[in-house]
Amino acid sequence: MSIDGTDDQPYLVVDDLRVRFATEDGVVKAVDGVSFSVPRGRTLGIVGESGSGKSVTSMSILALHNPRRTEVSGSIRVDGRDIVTMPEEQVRRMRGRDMAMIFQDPASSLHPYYTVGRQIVEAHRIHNRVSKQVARKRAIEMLDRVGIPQPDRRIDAYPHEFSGGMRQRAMIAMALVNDPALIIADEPTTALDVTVQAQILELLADLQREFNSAIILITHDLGVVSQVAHDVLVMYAGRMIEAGTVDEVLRSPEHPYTVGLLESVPSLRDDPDEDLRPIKGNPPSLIHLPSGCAFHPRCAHQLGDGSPCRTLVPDLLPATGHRAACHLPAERRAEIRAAISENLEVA
Amino acid sequence: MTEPLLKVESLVKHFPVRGSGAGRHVVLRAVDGIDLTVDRAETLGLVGESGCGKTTTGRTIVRLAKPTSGKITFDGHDITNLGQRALKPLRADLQIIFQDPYASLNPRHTVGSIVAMPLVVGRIKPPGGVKARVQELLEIVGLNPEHYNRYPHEFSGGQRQRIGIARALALQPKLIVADEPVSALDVSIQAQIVNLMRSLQREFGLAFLFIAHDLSVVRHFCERVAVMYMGKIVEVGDRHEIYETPAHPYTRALLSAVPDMNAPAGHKRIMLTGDVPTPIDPPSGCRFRTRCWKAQTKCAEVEPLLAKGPGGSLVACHFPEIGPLAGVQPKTAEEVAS
Repeated sequence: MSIDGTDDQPYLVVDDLRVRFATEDGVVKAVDGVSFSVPRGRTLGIVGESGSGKSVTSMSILALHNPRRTEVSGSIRVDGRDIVTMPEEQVRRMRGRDMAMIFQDPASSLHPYYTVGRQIVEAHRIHNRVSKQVARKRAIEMLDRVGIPQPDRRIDAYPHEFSGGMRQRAMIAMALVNDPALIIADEPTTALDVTVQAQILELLADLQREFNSAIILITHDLGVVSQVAHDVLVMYAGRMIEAGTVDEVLRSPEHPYTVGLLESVPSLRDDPDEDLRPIKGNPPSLIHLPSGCAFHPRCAHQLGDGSPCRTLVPDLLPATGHRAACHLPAERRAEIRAAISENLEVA
Repeated sequence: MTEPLLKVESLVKHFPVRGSGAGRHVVLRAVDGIDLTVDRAETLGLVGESGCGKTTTGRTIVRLAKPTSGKITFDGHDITNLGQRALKPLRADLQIIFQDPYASLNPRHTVGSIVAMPLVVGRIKPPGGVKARVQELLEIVGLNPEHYNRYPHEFSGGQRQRIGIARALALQPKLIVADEPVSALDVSIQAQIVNLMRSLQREFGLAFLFIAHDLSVVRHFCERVAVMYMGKIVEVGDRHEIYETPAHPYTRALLSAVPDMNAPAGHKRIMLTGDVPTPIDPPSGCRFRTRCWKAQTKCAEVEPLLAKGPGGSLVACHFPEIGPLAGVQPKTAEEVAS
């Protein structure tokens, strides 16, 4: 992935991240060897279905897991400092100041008993020694910046007095109040209607241009990724299976799972009388992962009994650029891609 | 038969709002006078954003809610005011599939008894017995009939939705109201369920009222589409009319807001400003006017009624849009060839 010109190292560098939870039924390998980096000014989309590990990855960057039940290894360097080995006290000082999170459901992420303004003021004053008046002025500025009308009056409203879209804007104002360099947005528009979703995505892109932030956008919606991300990481069963720029991954996918995902999304432009083309089967259990490539039981192109698809976990290759974890020979993958290319290479 | 299977006329459903000012009668106008019909074996999509009244419409039609006024005729029977007992014989023909496959199955019942429930309640003895019929139903929806004794928690989201579909099919209904049946599912699974419902629809000649907010899914399932905004139907027409030459500005905005990977480069999206107003105190005249870029004084004064529009659909707008909507057209011959 590309490196930003001003820094020697990307703002966020995640290396061989592994996250495990002990549960009653066994150990869940929620994230299994994930590496990526995000420079300032760039947006990485992490795509995957439920249980793929995309949300767990983002939660580990903010160190939001219960340390007693979670085992985290590998490194997560934010601005050169490793979150994994850092004492909780220090992580807390970085959270909200250097990195912030925008959650999926604005209704449950804002405190219902406090006014919106009070919550933004608090987020600002935790990291800045300023008076309440100064912080309030800053909160009004932020509400104005995210497009809330009459911010000087709306600041004293409670979350329930806001619509869903307004709440998500207030969440964004709260996340950005300390100018964090890294923003993690976990399905920020999934709970919103399409017309409001379009507004929020536009706002995020504007804010990124203005503040030159590094953004991680977690989503299951490939349409959203194609619209706002620069780079994409596709996850399946806790592992990275494909990574590259948006154009590389969405226009010429290498992994049969990515191909399958792209194929299963209905478009406004395909033939509505044809059946959709889903991926067969169901996502695997993270406790009893299939051997070899975790996708092989659902893969229409796997090489069959005794093949590496069933016995060996594939590496993500090549080392840089557009990478995929699949045992199929390159020619075979080109054929799979060619079969769907008429749907992808439009315009 | 010329009479439609389902006919809804001037349907109104208002909910009283608690804690409003003393003595004032305040209501939330969830559904505010809609007409629609569904023919036998037809699929009608009802689309709109959250709070537009689409779910309330569905629940009122299957009489899980009592209409405030209007008339619902199903298969020749006026079911508007029937009590639960009088409705019971008609329930066999009118079923519902719910959105949340986790909340709509009783976790303490086995899959077998969940799917058998409509047969038991309706005191129906299928030839070959209840168990054989349930296993047949499980097979129809693509589940292993041997999983009869398992509990819902042993199934994934997609499989649970198949169980909900098997239950709805148990009494061989004529109409299924499907309320966002795929929106809680992952995309790869969503496509499986849409295909399943399409094949069931063809095989059993089922009529569907398909309630959804995802316009690309509706396009793959429905022959006709009705667009709702704040308790009103603003446009209704055949699929190609709605998707290719939408006439209502709201329909156009909805379609253009869909994030589509295949949208041609330079596709300009129509950006609506603001949020949906409150259905407790809707705007006068056209309810969409507060967000509409074409609104004029007439829009605030006179409520537009559904009438034949320039694209062939019925549209409730004083200044309907004419012609195709850029960016969501079917691919041209050259594009397909390239």
